[in-house]
Amino acid sequence: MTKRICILLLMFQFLLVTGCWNSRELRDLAIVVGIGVDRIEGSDQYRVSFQLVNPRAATGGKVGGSSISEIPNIVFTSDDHSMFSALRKTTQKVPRQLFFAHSQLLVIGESLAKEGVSDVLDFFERSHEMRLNTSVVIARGASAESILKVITPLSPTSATAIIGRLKVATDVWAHNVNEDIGSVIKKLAGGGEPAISGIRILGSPTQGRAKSNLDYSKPPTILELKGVSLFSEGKLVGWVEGKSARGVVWALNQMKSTNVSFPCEDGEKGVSIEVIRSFTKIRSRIVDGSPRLSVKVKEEGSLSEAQCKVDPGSNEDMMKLRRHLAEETKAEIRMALKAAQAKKSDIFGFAAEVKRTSPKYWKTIEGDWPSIFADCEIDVDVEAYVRRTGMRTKSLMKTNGARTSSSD
Amino acid sequence: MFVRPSRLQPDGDAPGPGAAGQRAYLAQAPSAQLEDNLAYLKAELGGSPDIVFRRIQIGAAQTKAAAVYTDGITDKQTVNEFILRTLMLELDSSAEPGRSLLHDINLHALPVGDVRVLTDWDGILLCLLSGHTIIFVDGTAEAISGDTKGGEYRAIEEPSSQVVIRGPKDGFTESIGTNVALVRRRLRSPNLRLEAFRLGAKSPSNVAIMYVQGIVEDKYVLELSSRLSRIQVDALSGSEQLEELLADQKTPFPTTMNTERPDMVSNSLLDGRISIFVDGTPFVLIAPFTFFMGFQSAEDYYQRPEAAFAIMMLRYAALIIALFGPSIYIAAITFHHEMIPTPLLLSLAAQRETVPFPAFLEAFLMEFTFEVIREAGIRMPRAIGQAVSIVGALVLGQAAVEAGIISSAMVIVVAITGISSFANPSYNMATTIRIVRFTMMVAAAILGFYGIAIFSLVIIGHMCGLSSLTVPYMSLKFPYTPEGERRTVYRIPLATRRSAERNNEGAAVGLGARDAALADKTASQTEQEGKDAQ
Repeated sequence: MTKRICILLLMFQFLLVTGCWNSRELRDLAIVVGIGVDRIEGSDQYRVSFQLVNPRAATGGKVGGSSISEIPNIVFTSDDHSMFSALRKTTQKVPRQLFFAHSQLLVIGESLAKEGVSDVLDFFERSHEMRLNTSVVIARGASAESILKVITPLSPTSATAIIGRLKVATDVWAHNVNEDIGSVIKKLAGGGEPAISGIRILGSPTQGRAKSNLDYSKPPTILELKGVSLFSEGKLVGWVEGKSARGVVWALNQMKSTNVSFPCEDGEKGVSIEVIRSFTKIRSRIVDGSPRLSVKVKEEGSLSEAQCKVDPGSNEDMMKLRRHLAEETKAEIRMALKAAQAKKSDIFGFAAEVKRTSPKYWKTIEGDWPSIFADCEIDVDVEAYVRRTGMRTKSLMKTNGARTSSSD
Repeated sequence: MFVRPSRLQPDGDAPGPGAAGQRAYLAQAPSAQLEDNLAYLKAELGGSPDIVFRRIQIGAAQTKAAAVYTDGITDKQTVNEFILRTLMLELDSSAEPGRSLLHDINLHALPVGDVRVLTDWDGILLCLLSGHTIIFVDGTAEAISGDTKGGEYRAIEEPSSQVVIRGPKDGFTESIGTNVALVRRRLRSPNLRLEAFRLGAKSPSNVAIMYVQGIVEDKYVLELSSRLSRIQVDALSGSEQLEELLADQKTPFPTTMNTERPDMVSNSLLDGRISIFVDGTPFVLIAPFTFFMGFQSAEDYYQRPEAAFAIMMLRYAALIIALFGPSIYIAAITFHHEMIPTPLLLSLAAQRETVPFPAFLEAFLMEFTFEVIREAGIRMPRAIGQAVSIVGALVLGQAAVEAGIISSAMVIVVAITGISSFANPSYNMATTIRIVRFTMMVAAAILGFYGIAIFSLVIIGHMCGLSSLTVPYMSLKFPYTPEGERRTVYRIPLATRRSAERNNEGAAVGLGARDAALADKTASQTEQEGKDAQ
């Protein structure tokens, strides 16, 4: 019996041993939500920034009876030759253990992206603390550090603010892509190139990092998603913006919903169609020893706005809408392809497709793919449907002469 | 049929072999001298003032006699009217003093139901102390006892520990006779069997087992009888001790059910279970007991099947929370921060900024406080109940959070765990779950979810090894019928429910499910069952 009690007591002492195995008290953790990586000008060191969240300020509430007026956004930086040593170096500045399981965003500085991102990404893939589903953006015209330092409204940290933009804008506007570290690595490893959204600061970065940034109803410094990157051989070579950026999203089969506008027949006012479903397939076949690529899109939209007369009962009108939608889509995808080909940047995954369908051919051209891709002929085929016209059938627009031409 | 070990009648006319052995030092039989007998009895009972010795002279010969009874547990009116009055005024016997006079009394003069002629002191003492009146007549070594049991008992009240909204409101009392009657009133079947035992060497208690012949499996009755007759105790203070003595294995889990509700007993009997009545307690035991039975409430049969099923599922959910609530919290916030959604993690982290204790200590402190408050709430005198609830609200509430001792999330965890543990219809099961919960918290604090998983496996393994009256504890199928399973896990509509039928050898099936009116349908049901079987 005494033996049993002794064993029991021995087991209980495990409870008293602090820091045992993987047990960590929340109090001792510094929750990292954003990581930024920059290349220091004129040096081969990285500047790694960690954006920590101050939980007391982030939840905004009263804790222990007193209200908190701290800034929820804290950034620590360290310079070093490797990501990991920079990370460990930061412990000299942070009173708690850095905790990465909740890091949501990796910001890559533009200058680093131009030199190539592969070296940095190795750490993210290798470390067990990092998550591969962390989203990636590239800081445009600013350092990653300054992006993370911006204090934004409605979100405790700029990382969560950027994540929010990425998610919503990608879903409903589709001028940018939401790529995570895992898929960037996959694309780089598979012979293709990643397409990564750009983020830029509108306003003054210096003012943006002060709390006073939130003192205005229209904050003077804000963050904006802008453009999709074009990479070639793992290095940033350019950007596509606007309609070409949307063309990229279409070609990548990441289109969830967007809004396509085109002018009425009179050319001044416009018609808007909300794309609600889209499906893209890319194909490749070898014709006469050179690859022939094609992009096939099948999409469905509904009329969301009409500033001129559109009669949903008229077959002709609806066919016209379908045709316009298909043409517009086709044009945007062509713009995207053209821009990418000009930079020899295969961000669409054609490389993987060619590799999959014609492995023998792929072996012969593997090294030259970017230039072969640049010269490829790419067919774009769009099948569009407009099925619904919104909550309204007959527009409040007065019937005009065009009405009589309807054939029903 | 089958051979049973020694049985006794409810008011036993002979002591069991064990009891006789204990009393071997006593004089075995009364003497023919009245005064000797009275003196012996007085000495044996230590001259207790509640033993009344009434000396009388009876018959034509004015023979000396005495009536002895225990005040308080006898019905005074019966003693006066039917014993003393008849003996003193109405007995018209010219028999000689001695044996023949005693037999005259037995045959002509005692208008009470249960009369026995006793020839040994053990029987006499037992009868005297169970409320009989003993009559000694000078010149014979025999005594007569007449049943005059009575005295004050608690009336039949609504059960306090198992409450239902809709359903019968009567509950068992401390009197075994009343309790048996309450069940018999519900089960008007000739196959309802009652067998009596007497347990306790120093203070014998009446114990009875009840079952429905033809529904119950004989092996369980045999097993229970043999276990009961093997039990060696000095005294039984209630069914709780019996519960422990009847357990198959040593375990913190309850392996018999106890209930205050006659309707639950009758339902269980119709399911083929056996109930055990112990004199002096309103809690009747039911065996065999399976784990899932602990989550059925009498209420289930007084509600629409859909509602009853939903509520039963709610109870299982409550079981999971009561068992794992605090341990999941501990594991998540000390080991598995990555699995908490970021906003929730931030909020938890903000709350824990000011808390000085590790999560386990915090949880343990709170759960411990909760249990103390619960215990105090049960034990304290009613008059000071308010004080406990006021202090309890302070300790477990906002005040503790604002003092920075605990986090508000912990208050919520403790509260929902506490409430969930009250949702369990079986109180002793809930107590076991409390113990397991604390151990589970320790496991979670040491190894996180890994610890929870390991400890859960240990507990499940332990439960799978248990049995109640030889029936596997985790069995879903008791009684062993195709429908038994459905009945245990969820409540099936009454139309598809039939009495489990076992021995068909001419034995009538126990009266239908709820109601005597169903009795005439039994024949057709039996037929139907035969068809189903094919």
